[in-house]
Amino acid sequence: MVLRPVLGLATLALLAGCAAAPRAPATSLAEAGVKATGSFAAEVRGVATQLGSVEVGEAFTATLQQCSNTNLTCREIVEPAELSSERRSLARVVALRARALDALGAAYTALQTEAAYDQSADVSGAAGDAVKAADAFAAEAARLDRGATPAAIPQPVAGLADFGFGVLGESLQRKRLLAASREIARATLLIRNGMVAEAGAFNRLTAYLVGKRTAARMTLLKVGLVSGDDVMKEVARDLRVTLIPSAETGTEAYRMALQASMRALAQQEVIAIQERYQDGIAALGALLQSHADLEKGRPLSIANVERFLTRLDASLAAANPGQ
Amino acid sequence: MDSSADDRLAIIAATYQTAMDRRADDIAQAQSDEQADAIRRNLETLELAYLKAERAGLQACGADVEAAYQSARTAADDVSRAYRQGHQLADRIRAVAGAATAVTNLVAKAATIE
Repeated sequence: MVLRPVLGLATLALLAGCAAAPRAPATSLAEAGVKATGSFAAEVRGVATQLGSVEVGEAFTATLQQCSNTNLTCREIVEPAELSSERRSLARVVALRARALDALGAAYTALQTEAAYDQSADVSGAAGDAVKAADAFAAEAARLDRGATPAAIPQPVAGLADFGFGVLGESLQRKRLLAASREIARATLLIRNGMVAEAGAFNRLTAYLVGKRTAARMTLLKVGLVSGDDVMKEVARDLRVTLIPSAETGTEAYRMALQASMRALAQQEVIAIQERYQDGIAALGALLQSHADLEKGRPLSIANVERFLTRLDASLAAANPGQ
Repeated sequence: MDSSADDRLAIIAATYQTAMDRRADDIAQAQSDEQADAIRRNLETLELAYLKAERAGLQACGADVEAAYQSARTAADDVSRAYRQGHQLADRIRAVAGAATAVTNLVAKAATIE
């Protein structure tokens, strides 16, 4: 009877299909995770770095303001040490968030290695580190905004210890990939929720830093140490006009207009940074959806992650045109 | 309804930002080193309060916290009014000094960690 071997082969193929490791979708998911965490960490680290270096511009601005007023004694103005020390303490707290994102990125990299090369990467160790970092971050965020960080995990985290006992090849890798995905999803969820809880703090810090930078720029502009050309280029771009040389550029009216434009551009900068932060959160949310898709064997919705990352990257490129 | 930690942080950040935005003009109008020093000292106090508040969070609850929050709001309004109505520099300095004291008190009452 010819039918029985055919059925047997079909059953085998079906079983093999069921047990096949979802390497391609896991690779796509991991790549998206690496990109998302990398971009988001860079954004958060930027805030920490700027916080740590405010006093340089501040010393210049305050001294120039003092010495520009002839009623006052021209002397160096240096802020109290307590202020710069407090700023550095806050910078360290912000840097912890970037480190949590880095750890999550490392976990996605390990998942990528496991999925792409069919080799045994240290995915369990990396996922564990990511969860530890995410837990620490989530605890910190919860402290800042008690009750706002939902601790709900979609499903229990499967331990990785059961691997290697009677499960081999594709089936083993499938289990490893799915378990790692689950563990990483848990970390992603914690970090995403922490970022949501801290959005208010991030928005205020962004406004604070841009305010400091704008004050320094205005001081430089007032004393003629920087040109207003860059500001005018941005104004012209917004108005969609081409500038021509003008004799008006030396007047008080022009200087005041430049100053007002600088403030408006600073406000746009604040909004752009805050939108990038929200895009980072949205990208992490889209990653979580992709983890759920992977778990259920559905086609992955990586395009959603890519959409937020594209926006984030475009905004970053606009903010740093020379880089 | 009681204020949230975000409400408290927002009023502290806004008060600092108002004073910061006016610092250049205030220093330019100062008639003496004492006035310039007072302007900077007020701003430093506000900035320190803001940074501490952001790091510590302002989660504590209680009647004293709410009273401190309301005082900070009133003081912030006084600062805005002083600038909006073009008060003399000495009056503006006094208004900002009042706000600096009020927000420092709010941070002391509402901060949950040192």
